[in-house]
Amino acid sequence: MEFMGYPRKDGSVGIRNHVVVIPASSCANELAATIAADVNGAIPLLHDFYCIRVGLDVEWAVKTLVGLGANPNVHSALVVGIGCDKRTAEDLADDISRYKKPVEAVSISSQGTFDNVVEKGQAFVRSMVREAGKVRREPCDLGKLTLGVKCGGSHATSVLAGNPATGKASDLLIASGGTVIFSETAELLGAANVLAKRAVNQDVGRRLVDVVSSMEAEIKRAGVDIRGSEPTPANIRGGLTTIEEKSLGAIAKSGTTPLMGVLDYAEKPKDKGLYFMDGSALTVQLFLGMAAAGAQIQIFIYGGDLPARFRALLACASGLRTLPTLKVLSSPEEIKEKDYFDVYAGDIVEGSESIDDVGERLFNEIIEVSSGKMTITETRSGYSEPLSLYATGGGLLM
Amino acid sequence: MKETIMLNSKDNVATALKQINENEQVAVVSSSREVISKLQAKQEIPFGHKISLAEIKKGEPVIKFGERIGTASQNISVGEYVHVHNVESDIGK
Repeated sequence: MEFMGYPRKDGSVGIRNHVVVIPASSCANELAATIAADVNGAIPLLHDFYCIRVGLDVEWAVKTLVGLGANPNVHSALVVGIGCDKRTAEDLADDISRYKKPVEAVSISSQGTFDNVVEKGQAFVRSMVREAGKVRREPCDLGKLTLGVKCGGSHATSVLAGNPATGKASDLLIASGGTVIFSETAELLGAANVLAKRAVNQDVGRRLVDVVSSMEAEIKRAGVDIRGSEPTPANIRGGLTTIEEKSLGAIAKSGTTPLMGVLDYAEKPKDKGLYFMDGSALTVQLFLGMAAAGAQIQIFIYGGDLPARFRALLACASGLRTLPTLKVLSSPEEIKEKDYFDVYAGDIVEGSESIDDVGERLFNEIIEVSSGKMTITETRSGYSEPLSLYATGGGLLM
Repeated sequence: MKETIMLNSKDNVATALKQINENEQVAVVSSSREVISKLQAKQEIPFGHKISLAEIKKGEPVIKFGERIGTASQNISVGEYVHVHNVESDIGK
């Protein structure tokens, strides 16, 4: 099967054709925002890569920024720095250029002043948005798609409706030669052995059990009782009694195909099929890892018990404007919120639609959105927050 | 009759597909929505929450999706409401 995408020189295919401005560090956010503000179609990807990060946190931040710049949905990128950034704009641009994408770097240390950088940066970005307009969509194989999936606001209806319907769509995409990535190690607590049975070989199964055991050991070492935070009060109101129940429900979104591998955070899959990405963090951070690994589209499944925050999140479900998000709603109790979602799965709970029917609708929506149809989130542009990059410690169990 | 769904044949709990009242007769259906059995709810059970399908003694596993989701922290009889008041997680113990 095919969709209409933008073929890239590195062999990947974009479903969007964005020009992005990436700050090398959080101190360059204002510079990136100023450059993008006066160029129609330029997207600034502001973030929180402060210099106080060390070790693995630096590695993740760099992998994420390079991956976001190299993502197939990006036509071209400008990296901007102030000069004392932990990783220079020039180095980051160099890494992105390996993906054969137009990319440039500007920084205050090489251009002299803030205004000079703005002028030089805008000249490049302005020429890029005009070039991007010349690229045409072409028929491309569905096997070129990588889908990221994540559930939020887990509820008893998540496992009845949205998660298995997403699992069906994942199965259909993988049957078409595509790739699916899911994540959130904390949500494998109590379900790792069940998922490991689907591993393509023993090594993959062992690695999966290992990443989950080491997370459990870390929680114990920290002296935290995970049962105090998982399931969350909203999950409990939604009928989920234990973390095991939540985890077993969460893995339904991975469908039924063999697990091909376990990825490090922001690591690219080596092959096609289903992958698990190690990482437990904020939803936004997990999606960033998937985008950095090459995902062009994502599904976010909502359970029920939607507080105002979830509605606010609708404007920036991924936080990342270059990555279209399909939002799926599971609970019939929230049917009044249906128009905020791309696909409503609550009829499965009512018994008037089957899991397979909704899964097929979702799969068709993936093809349409990949071919250019806007998601509900994409129709909203007013609100965005700086991207929160994955770091150890904070947010471990979110 | 209101329905509860038993997701796997090994399960000893089912999920309420509607809010269930105390003493109400309910049907237990399979994933393909065929009626498997009927039982009486001993308590009110909110939408999406669980009802016991069997006698589960304190210390015995609670099974959903055909997998263990925790351990009964007290004796649970057929038709009882099953949630955090009578089930405990086995993680991090």
